[in-house]
Amino acid sequence: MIKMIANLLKILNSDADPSQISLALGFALVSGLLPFISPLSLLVLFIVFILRVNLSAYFLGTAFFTGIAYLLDPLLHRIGLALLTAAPLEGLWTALYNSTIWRIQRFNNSVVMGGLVFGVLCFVPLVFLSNALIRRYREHVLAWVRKTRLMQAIRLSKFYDIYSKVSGWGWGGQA
Amino acid sequence: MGMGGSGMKRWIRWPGLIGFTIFVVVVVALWFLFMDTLVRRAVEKAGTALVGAEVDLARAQVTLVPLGVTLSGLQVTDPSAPSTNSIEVLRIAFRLDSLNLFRRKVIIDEMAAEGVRFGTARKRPGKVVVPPPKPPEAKEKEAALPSFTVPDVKKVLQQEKLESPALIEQAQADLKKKSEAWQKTVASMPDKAALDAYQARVQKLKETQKGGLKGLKGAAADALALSKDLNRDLDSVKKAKASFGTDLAAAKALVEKAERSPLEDIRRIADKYSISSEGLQNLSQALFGGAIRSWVDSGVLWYSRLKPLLERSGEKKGNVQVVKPLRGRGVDVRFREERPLPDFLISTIKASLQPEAGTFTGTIRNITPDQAVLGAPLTFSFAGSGMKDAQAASITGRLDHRKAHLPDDALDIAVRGYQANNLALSSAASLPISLQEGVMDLEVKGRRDAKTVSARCVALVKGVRLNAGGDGSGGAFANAIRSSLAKVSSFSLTAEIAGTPENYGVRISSDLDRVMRDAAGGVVREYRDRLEKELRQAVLEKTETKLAGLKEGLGGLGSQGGKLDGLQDRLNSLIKEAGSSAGGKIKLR
Repeated sequence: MIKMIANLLKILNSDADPSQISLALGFALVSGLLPFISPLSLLVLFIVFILRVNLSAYFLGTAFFTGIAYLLDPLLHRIGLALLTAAPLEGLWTALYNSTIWRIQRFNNSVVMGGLVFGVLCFVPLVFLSNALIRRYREHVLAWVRKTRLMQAIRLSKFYDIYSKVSGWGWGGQA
Repeated sequence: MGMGGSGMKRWIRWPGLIGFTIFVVVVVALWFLFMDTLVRRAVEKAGTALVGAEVDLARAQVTLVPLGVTLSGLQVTDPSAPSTNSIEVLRIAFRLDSLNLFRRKVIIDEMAAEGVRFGTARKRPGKVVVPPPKPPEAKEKEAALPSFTVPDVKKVLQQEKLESPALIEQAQADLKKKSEAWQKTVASMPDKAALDAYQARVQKLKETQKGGLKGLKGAAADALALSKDLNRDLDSVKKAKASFGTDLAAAKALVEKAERSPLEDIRRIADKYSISSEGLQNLSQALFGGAIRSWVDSGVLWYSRLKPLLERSGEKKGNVQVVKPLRGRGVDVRFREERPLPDFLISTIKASLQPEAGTFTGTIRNITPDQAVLGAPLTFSFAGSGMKDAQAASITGRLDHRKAHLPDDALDIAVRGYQANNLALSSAASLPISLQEGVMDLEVKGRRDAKTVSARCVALVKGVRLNAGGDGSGGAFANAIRSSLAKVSSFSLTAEIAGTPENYGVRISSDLDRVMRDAAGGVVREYRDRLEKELRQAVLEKTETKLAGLKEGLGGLGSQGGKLDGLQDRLNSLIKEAGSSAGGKIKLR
């Protein structure tokens, strides 16, 4: 848990573009709510790699949202079941059900469908919200955080050196 | 364009393509590397969830071209005996339809199962996740067996509630109430003073008659008044007597019932603690019922555990069906398919079973929880070949769950010339019976639908040597049974199972009943006589005094009747006397 907080602080306190971090969190939300091995997860992963989003934030966010997904299971199940059994959408679902790619995606499972819809709907609000929060954090809180012992310990760690170097050539998200 | 290129460069990370490829390759490589382990764990997890007890798999091997799986050393813990396997399979091999696998449909055309054995010992006891339900008949099974020693009557009477003392006390109270009521009624009738007054009036009438014509005129009026009074009293006495007769008859019946009640108590308790004639008629039920019942229970338990392989609990919502997936979270919603196929199907399993009796080979067809989609029921057919213990054996069956609410299952088992050896027929502690040796022909026919279960099992055994234990425990009764069974050379046993799937009864009948009844009849009669004698003594001690009091009470009530009789006689004689004193001119009655 401490390691996770330290990693989060590292990302927030780095020079990474806030929009790249927030976009990474948005994709992390979608990945966390979808099954790990599925065509859509693969597509999201491809987008994350190809777009200049913060990979550390993405992987950290995915781990976080995967845990959250378990807690949200009852809600996701209800959303998914309501959509899958809605009479007006039956034609669409039937067509998808007879398509191999969508069957692999397992869209007809209530939790998967609920997760997909919930993730897509929350994607844009989460990106904007996290973007605004990161900017405010850097403006108002960052200076104080940098002075804390935890942050100083992180900055002295070997991992941070590596991270700084890597982020320098773009894997951390900063060009 | 330049700005567009710069914007694109700002957002696109082309080296990411390499990163993505490396990531995917690493994940796929890891998956291939650990695929066998993943499959092994998945089989163990799904199997444990299905059976409710630990399932172990020694090895799983996955081949990609063609897609196939080989499982070796499958062990399924017996939930009711965790140190043994209910089933152990040496090798299972099958190929998967890879195209349908992409559609999340596990379709296996043919599966081969080799070296299927039952009841093998485990190296260590397996974990039981869902303990098997304790059969409620366990206690009844023991209780159903008659006790073979005369119980301590004092203890019996502490456990059993005697009905007779309460009944006698109630009768006493009723009788007392009636007696008091009649005492009051009799007291309200003309007493000695009133009768003396009547006598005086009769005397006066006689004297007036002697007083000539003038006296006669007055006597007629007096005689009429006397007649009215006497007849009124006589009527009320007669009415009271009629009512008293009814009450006395009821009281007598009550006393008779109370007198009988100690004997009824004795009979009831003796029936419970000894073997009644009905019990002797069907000793095989008491002796073999428990063992056969436990076999049936075991079959029913396995049927319920394997039921998820026959049907899935689904719910119809509009045109779609909502089903719980075999694995995973949430529910799956099933829509109309262009080419309907079950989500899971093993078309054919070719298996060789190796129970102790020998080797059975056969096939199981259409294993799927979606029989309605497939449109065919699960069927199985096995035949014994080259068996060392039996001439021939066959097991066939059909589990039809195409209509989940109207299941129709059938099972036929036929075994010819089975060399039975040390087969436990009764595990009763007081009289364990085993078939030491014998040649058995067995036929089982069973049916199960949504509401009823019925089965008939007939066993004909020849060349029999029965063992009923030789330690002499169980007393004279058990010894009589033992010696009678020792002479048996052949017998037949029929078990009939009938009832609902949740509550069924097992009824056993056998020609051994006659043999045991003849042998044990004398012992049972003697035993019962002794028990009844001891019970009689103990029960009568508790009821004798009360019964004597009750009879006294009845005598007291009867004496009220005597008083009414006396009163009626007296009134009748007064009427007669008064009539004659009036010179017979006035008819008094």
